[in-house]
Amino acid sequence: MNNIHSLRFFWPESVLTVAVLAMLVQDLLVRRSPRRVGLLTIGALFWLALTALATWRTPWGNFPIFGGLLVHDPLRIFFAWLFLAAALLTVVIVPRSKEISSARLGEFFALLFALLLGMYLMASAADLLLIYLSIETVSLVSYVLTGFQRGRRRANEAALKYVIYGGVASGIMLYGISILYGLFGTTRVAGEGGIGAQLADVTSRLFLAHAFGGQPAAQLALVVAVVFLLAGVGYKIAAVPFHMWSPDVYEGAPTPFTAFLSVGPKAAGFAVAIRFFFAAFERQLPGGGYAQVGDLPWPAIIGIISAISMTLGNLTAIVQSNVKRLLAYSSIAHAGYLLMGLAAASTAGVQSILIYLIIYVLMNVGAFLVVIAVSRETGGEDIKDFRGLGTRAPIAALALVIFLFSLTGIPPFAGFIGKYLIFAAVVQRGGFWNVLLAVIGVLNSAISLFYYARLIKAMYLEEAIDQRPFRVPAVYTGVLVALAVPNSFLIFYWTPLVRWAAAAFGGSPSS
Amino acid sequence: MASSNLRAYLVRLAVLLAGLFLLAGAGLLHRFAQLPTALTLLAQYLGMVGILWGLNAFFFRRVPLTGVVLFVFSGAAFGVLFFLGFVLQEIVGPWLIDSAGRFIGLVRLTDLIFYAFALMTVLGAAGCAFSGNIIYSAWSLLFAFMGVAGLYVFLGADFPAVAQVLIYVGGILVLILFAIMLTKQIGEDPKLTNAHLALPVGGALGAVTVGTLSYMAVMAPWKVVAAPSYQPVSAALGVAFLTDYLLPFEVVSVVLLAALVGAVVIARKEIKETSDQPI
Amino acid sequence: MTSIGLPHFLIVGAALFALGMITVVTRRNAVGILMGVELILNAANVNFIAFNHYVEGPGKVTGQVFSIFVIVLAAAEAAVGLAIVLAIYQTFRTIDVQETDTLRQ
Repeated sequence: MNNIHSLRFFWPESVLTVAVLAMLVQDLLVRRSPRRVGLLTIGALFWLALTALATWRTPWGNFPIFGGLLVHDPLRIFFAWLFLAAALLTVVIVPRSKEISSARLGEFFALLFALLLGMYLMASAADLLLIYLSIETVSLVSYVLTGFQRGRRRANEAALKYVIYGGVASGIMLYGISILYGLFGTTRVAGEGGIGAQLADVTSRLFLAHAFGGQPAAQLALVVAVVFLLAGVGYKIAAVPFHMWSPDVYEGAPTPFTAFLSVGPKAAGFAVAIRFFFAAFERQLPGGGYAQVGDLPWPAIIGIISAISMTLGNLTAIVQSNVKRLLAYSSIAHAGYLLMGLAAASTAGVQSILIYLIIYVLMNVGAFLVVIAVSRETGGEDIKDFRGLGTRAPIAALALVIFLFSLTGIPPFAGFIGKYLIFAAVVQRGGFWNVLLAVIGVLNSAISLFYYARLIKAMYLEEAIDQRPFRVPAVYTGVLVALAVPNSFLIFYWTPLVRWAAAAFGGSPSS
Repeated sequence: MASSNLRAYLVRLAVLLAGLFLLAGAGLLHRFAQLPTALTLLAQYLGMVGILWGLNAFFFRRVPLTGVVLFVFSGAAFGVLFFLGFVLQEIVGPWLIDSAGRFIGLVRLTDLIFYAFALMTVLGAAGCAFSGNIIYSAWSLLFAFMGVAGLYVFLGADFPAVAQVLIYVGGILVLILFAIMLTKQIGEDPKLTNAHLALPVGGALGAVTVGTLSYMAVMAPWKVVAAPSYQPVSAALGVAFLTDYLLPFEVVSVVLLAALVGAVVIARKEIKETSDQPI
Repeated sequence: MTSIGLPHFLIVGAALFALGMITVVTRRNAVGILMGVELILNAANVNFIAFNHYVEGPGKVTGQVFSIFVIVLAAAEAAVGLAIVLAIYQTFRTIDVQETDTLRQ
């Protein structure tokens, strides 16, 4: 579909582009106003609502747009809603946190919209150029937002580490992309003449069939290319060995942005991974299932990364004393669980990832929100600052308990649904290695209970030095309740989630 | 005092020259007078010892080579030299000399130009990687960038070559030099923060990488077209940017805006809070 | 036999990539590491343009388009990265990555 006709399906992104400019202009207009925080927040909410409207009004379909650079399909819309939810939570949280000064709120929102635009593009990129460009967009804006608090050592330092690791990861990814381009002579992943089509079509390209069946050098080139490309994606989702930035960045960045970073770009990274692997190395069967094409053992590569990520993340989390770092390592471990669903290389696996991502947004943003509320009052984010929270701020403490149990995956809470579906998808795939992967996952969930329980113990069983109750802003209490309720009760009615995920991925084959 | 110092230097110089003669003489005797190989090697090794001991008077005087160290070190140096000579004789030699025994060399001018640019690129990059002084690193980066621009011309990519010179050399490199100069007083020892911590590890990693990638480059079955063209591409590029690649072209403008705002946000001074009152 | 072909360019690219990696892992100076990143990006660009010339063939410009985008994004990244380096220098008075360690406990 050509550029002009594609614009019909590009409304959300267009609105976001305008929003970036509008927030910058509004920032100038209300610079001297005493009510600028409120005005800017209302402006940001307005643009978010408009984006949501545009996303909602986008016609349903499954076809390439912009000449195959992007693809418009239900998966893209699914991720769009996920990103919007994360962005909405951030916009609501930011004004009341003390970490973003009111003088720079307009710039923060403008950059947040640019980040959102990058994530939207990541979710629909069907060309290696767009994959690189969108990942780089998200990275560049993330560096800036991480170092947003000028003059604070931790923030600057985190931004520096982020830039360095990010630059290296994207460079390696780019080299991998160049090899793929050399092997296939195109940067298109999906669609006609794309990498997936070339790999699937054995007859027209005997050359390729011969090359990837027999030649070790060609095999090596393909494996190297994919592993290098995984560096870029793995860096976005914070999977081992590309996770080194995440504890520092999570700790140093303004906490509302950390909350966004831990769910938004991670989900976008999974969108890229799902789309890339399923478009290039899998072929959709008439029944809706998938069959592998080519000899690349990509589920094995992902499985290994997954096992290492969750084990290392959980074991390192145990020794952390700073709650933001603890949640960073927990988020690395969660990247591992989520990758497990990808390693299953099946429709059920991807659907379980989608469901888990929804739940992950609910529970992880909630946990970070409690951290914001506590550090707002005590000025610290260490476990010792959480002592006595059960009496000082009962609602926040109870909400945090729910989020932590949900993150562990204990049955009555929502996290259990996600983990259960992922483990089920992996076991369903069968084979010794997949079952072993599931067992590693279960063991890791048990380990994670240790450090989550340490935090809960501090809140309820340890005495605080300062016993006075503190006030959590009404907005925060509202958001906490709104996040805690689905975390507690989703287990009784989660068919809509399953239906939604099924609609997003693995429905009828594209025509 | 001074005279004994001078005499020591002269002795060293004499030993150095003697070593050189021994090395060359043994080689010539072996070639033309059938001196036994073992004897030749022994003589050349002794010559090497002499050369190193003599050289030590002038270079690396802070690390005096004496006793066992001298002999072991000379052995290593001799080994390296021997290996180099072997490689030159057995591998490069036959390649340069055709079957009739004539020296053909790098006959084609274009090939020579390619090798010049490739050498410039790789040496520049190596300088950037291994130089102990960050400013020298930045300057060697200049050679790497210029060499890459030359390679682009070689590949018929005129526009990227110009962009490479304008943006990499004219923009990024200048930015890097500014950053170095602003963050570092030239006078103080610039090597302090620039220690090669893991050079052996890094070198091993680099060797493995370059080995794997080169093997891949040579062995993988790339689908090379029969006749690559050397037409100018600027027009085709312009058309591509405004048709097939219009979307990324527009997106990149948003990215540049965000980067601009971001760089300003990070680098400017903290402005006074106009109002810190929450609503 | 000695004529220049695709592998020659790819080997130059591989050497640039490896040297960039060495720079990145052995340097402690933040600006030095960013220079290594630029080398890696250049390596990828050499590959892109070489493949464009030898593999994709006449009349196609995908690889060159890609390389232009890479150059633009590298410039943007360098601007942001060096702004952060300057900001950190103003607060720390050093840009040694090992020394910026308030985060590690």
